[in-house]
Amino acid sequence: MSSNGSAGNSPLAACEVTVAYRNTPVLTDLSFEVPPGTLTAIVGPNGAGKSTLIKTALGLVQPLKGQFEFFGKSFREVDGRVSYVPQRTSVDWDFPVTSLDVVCMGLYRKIGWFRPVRARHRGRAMEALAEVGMQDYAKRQISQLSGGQQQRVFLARALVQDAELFLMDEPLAGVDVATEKTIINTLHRLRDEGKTAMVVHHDLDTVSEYFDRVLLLNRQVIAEGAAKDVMTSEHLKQAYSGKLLILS
Amino acid sequence: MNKLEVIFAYNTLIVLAGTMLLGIAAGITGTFLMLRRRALAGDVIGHAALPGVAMAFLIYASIAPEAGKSLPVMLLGGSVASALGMLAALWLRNVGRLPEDAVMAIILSTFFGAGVVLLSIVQASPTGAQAGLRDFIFGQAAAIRISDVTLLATITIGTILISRLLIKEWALMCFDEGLARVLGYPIRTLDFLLMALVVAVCVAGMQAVGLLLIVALLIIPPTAARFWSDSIGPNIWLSALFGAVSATAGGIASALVPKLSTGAIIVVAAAIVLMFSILLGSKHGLLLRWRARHVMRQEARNPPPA
Repeated sequence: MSSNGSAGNSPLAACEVTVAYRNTPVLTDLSFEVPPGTLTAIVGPNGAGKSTLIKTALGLVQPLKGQFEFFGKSFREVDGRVSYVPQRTSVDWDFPVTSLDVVCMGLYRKIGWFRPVRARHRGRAMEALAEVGMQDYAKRQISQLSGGQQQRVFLARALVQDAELFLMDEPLAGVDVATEKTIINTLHRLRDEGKTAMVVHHDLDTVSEYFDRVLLLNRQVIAEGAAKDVMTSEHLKQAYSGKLLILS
Repeated sequence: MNKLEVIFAYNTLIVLAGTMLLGIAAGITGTFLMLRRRALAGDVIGHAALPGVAMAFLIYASIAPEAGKSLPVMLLGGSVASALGMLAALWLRNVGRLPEDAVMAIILSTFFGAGVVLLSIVQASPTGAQAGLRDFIFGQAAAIRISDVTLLATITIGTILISRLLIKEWALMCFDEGLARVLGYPIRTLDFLLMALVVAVCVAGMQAVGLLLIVALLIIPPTAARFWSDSIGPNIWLSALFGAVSATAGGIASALVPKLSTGAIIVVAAAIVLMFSILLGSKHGLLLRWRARHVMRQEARNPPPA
């Protein structure tokens, strides 16, 4: 499973990444490579290090050892090619902004320092809101949205960045059926356009249906590859240390 | 002189201009401070300034015994101590195991305690007794001079310019620091700039409002503004307006009754503005909510014929 000497075209490759919070190891010797144009689910029990993986890849958490490569380069060198959807609970939804304002935030780098958001930027943000079925909520203050609608606003914000790789932390957690459909359809459309996504996912029942590939994680890579090869009861038992009732 | 003459006297106008400028700067800076969820940081910065002011006075008095007190020197001392207080709070928080509010309370009281000790040393010295350092604690707007107005105007114009330039960067940092960092924004620098503005407002406002209550001028106006609008822009200028109105009201009271503690009047005025906003606010006011609730109840009891 070593990916040493990885090909430079993988949108995201981890090379022997080890991460610890204070004195507690969270991820140990993580190595994997994501092929372009695929949807990968990151699956594993609570505390497996799923969010930490994404945060470390994006430079929000510093690894003790190893590194992530994006398209063969460091994160700072691939400016704008990677987009991030954080957990919905990570922000303050009482913040005085509308859905449209939040989507425009995805354009801030393109707009540039000190420059105001202009009509054409708002137009682009409106398109993205329409893509996720949220155009009618553009002027709503974000606390007036349901959890699923908030998640769709986050997705729209990721879409306007025109990225090639999407890293998403639990976009399907606690959302309604309509939102789940919208998000999955959007992900499939992105994949068909040749884009790549890596998504933290918690629902084992839908993994194989929604995603091409799975990275099964529990502090280290348990298994990685095509969904049908990874989602075996043996692997799952190993990842969830027998705490899981295998139904299939 | 009758009361109107007092208000329009030159000295009074200076005082009013000074307090109004301070209110605007505090209202704008406070909006971002609140959005960053750092309300307590203003309190720490205000309290932590006291030992700096007293220390600066003592050092300056020993270097130049004849010169009396120098406002710029004391403000510089206050800024240094405020910055040290914030750094100490950040360090203590990163040590771990200490909740952020406890850290703030520890730093705030420690620095203020040290300040009170230094202040009693100052008061014991013959020059110190007349220096009026106590005014820095509770504020004395009547002491504002034209040179102070120049300083306050500089800070206010600086605040307006910086917040206009950085409104989207600061808003992003306050709303979603993770995305801001992923997009490559220098969070430390942006944060430092915001905190530097808070220190500038606190220190510049020490004379007029006093370091104990300056935090109110940073926090109450933006809180009141939030009841009137759901977008950042209007929140900022409404907060500036509320800050200006409260501070000016304090300035007028201070001019009419010279013994009155200006800071206290300003805080009371701001609190009244807040009460009105909570009741009447056009976005989240209680009256609005009660009326909507009433309409809903009526409709629920008398459903329109289908």
